[in-house]
Amino acid sequence: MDATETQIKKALVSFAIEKVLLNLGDPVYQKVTKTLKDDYNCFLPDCYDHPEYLKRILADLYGNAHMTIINSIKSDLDEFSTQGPIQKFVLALG
Amino acid sequence: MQTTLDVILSKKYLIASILAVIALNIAANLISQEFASIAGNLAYVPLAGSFLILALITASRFGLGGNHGLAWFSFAGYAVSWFIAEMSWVHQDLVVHEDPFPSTADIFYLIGYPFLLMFFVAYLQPVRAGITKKVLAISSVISVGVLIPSLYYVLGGAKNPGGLETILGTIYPIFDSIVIIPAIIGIVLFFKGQVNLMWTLICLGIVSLFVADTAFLLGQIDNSYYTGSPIEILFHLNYVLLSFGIYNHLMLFKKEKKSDKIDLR
Repeated sequence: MDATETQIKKALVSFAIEKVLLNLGDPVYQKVTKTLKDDYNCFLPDCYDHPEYLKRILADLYGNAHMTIINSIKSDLDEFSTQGPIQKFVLALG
Repeated sequence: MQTTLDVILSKKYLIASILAVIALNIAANLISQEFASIAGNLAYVPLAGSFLILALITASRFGLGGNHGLAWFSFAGYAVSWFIAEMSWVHQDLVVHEDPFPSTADIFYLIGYPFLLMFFVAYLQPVRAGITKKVLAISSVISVGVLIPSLYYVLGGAKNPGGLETILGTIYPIFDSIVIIPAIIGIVLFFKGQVNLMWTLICLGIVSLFVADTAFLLGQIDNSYYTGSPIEILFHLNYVLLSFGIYNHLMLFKKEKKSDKIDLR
């Protein structure tokens, strides 16, 4: 079965977030995914539709520095940011 | 998720530990200087020991992956080095009955500083873009602004400023003031975040250490220092603050029983 365009973009966004979080450390990745599940009952790919969830979790954890982490995710998605939905996601991250 | 209750409880135990350290030192000094020396030395076993265990647990939790992994590995190196230094100091003072300053303990204290600096650099590396010139300048000014007047005051009264003990004693406040710069940067960067409590406690620990090292240098110059003297409270508080800081971080990123799988719906 072929993946839909939305699924591919969700995977792309999800991998970009995962890469940045794992670059910080595996426990950070685990903490973020667990908080997503506990607080919003969702998974990493769902951040594609709800970037505000990720933003809030990172702000709670890292305070003022959360924007630097978000900028790393945005920078990883740079080459795809001209595509409508990803651009929307990047803009919603702030 | 860390609840408000967890934060309050962790601070309650922190305050209790700080008060216990102060009370034990005062009580021991009221009994006798000899007893204070024994108590002051022996207190390093649980204090530096629990600090070492917490640092090793955190390092094993984070592994070697990612910047935090490298940071906690370095921090464990610092904890190991200082634990060896403390035990060496205790051995010199209580077993060999020789003046532990200067001694092999100093080698391990000094080896610890590059590890601590590496911890700060590795932890801050992913968010380095958020470090502004203003924050860097303010933290450097605070560091130098505290170091120079205190060294000027302390060394001004030294009879032999070129002596090994004075030179070695001067190195400690200088190193403390160097590591205080990234600690202050961390507090500013992580302000309002959950990791900020750890950074604040580590920074307060280093401030405590800086004051203790400066007072120690003064005590060496006028020959008033002995292990277990009231100055020792600050050295002990450094371990209490650092231990609670690491514990807070460990609880924040504690291992979960169930792993969440990615659902590509």
